[in-house]
Amino acid sequence: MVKRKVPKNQSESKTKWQHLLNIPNQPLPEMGLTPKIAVWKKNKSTLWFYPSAQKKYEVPVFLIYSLINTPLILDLSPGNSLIESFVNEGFDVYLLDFGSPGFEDGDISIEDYIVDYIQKGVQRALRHSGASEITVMGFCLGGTIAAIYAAIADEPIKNLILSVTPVDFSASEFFDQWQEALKEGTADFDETIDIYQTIPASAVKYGIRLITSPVYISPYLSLLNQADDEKYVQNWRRFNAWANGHVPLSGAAAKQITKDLLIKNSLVNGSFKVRGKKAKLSKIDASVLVIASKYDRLVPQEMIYPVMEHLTCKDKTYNLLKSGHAAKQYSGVLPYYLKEWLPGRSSPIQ
Amino acid sequence: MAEKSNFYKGLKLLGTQKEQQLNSKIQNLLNNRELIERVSDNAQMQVPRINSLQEASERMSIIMNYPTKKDVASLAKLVIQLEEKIDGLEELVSILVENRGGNVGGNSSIRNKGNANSSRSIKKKSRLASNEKEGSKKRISDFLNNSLLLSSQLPEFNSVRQENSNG
Repeated sequence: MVKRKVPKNQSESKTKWQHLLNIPNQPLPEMGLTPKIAVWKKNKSTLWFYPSAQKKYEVPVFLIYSLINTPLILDLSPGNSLIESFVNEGFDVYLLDFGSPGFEDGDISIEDYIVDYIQKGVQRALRHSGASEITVMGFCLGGTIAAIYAAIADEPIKNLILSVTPVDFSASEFFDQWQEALKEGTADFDETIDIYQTIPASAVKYGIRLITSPVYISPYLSLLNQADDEKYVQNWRRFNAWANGHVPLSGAAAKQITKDLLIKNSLVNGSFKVRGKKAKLSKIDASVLVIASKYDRLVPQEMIYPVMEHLTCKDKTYNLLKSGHAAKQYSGVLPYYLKEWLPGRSSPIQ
Repeated sequence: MAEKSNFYKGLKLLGTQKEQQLNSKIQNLLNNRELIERVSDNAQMQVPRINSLQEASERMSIIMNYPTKKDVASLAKLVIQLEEKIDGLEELVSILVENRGGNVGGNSSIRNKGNANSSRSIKKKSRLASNEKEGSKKRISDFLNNSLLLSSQLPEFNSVRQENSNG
């Protein structure tokens, strides 16, 4: 019997395809493994505490993630986790996870999130940590509400870090015709939102997909390209699970985002009010680090940079990274832009 | 082997390019004022229909004796209110204990560990501390008043009160 030799190229190709087709049969790798304790719960929200391995800084870090996605991206896996990086560097970390709002939460507005959840959460974190000051770090829309909160806060916010945070909504280039129609009131979805009370997670997902990439094949081609690399596949699956894990958005918050932020651009023109209190960016007196990403299609830097013009605090830094909206890799240590900026402003323990 | 790897890299590059082109086309096609206005009109036309269906469901629930989504939401809101009340109590207890020099589950941040180098932080801290001190008394009395007000609206409370006044 003659044994036919399989060409090497062919076998490699077969392996890639075999790996790719076998992926759905494998369990999803674990995520969010950095040790944590729940220190406060309110409605669907949880305030998580990640104790530092060896505390080196007095000022803890309080993380606020976006309202439309889960904060899992901040703790994807050991060795690829921002939270783990903070903890390894000696920072105590608090993360406010808003959870998944239901029908009964349809009336929670941005103002409510700021006063009833973020402000209370920061107070709890301060009390729990025994710290005299805190660093607040917001991501994407979480950064926008972190900036609004910082503008009205009574709490001692020492540092404010805004990561890929939209501030100037007039600079958004996508779907300008839709924006015009919304601004002029010829398109209005308020009554529809009132019926459903929340924007369903699937609608949020496809809405974001529409802005970024309606045809979504390149991630799968990347996976095929490296399907025989076990570590890459595991990381890809974790990221993919996060990228598809949107949460519903409460109706009141959706309306406030559309009316106050998108149509009136009220954060930039200083008219955004939180329970009667004007949230002016010029009132922020914390040290501010603004992070933007060059290849971010969802929040281009034109929507981010104007915050620098409206901040009047003396200590403000702008950092433009060569990355996309969310695909940042952390290797167990803080990325350089945080490592250079944050420790010196976090009261190192002598 | 390198040839094959190059093939997959090339495929990825080509796919990404085509994806970008297609995305731009789709987005340009959809970025149409008439389209969004038509979607909005259609959505608004559905509103009265869905409202009447929901009202019918509410009416049916009386006869069929099943809870509607609104009933469940009302119940959930009551639980949230209760949770807020407990949260408020917890906060008041911790403030009271701290005012007496004690310590609850962590520690008052805002008071003891100041950063001597930061005048901004001291200013904010003292403002917060004085706000808390002034506010704590008011909050306790407000809280008690609100609790009494809420309790007085409960039917059980009224009947107990009536029984007491009758007795």
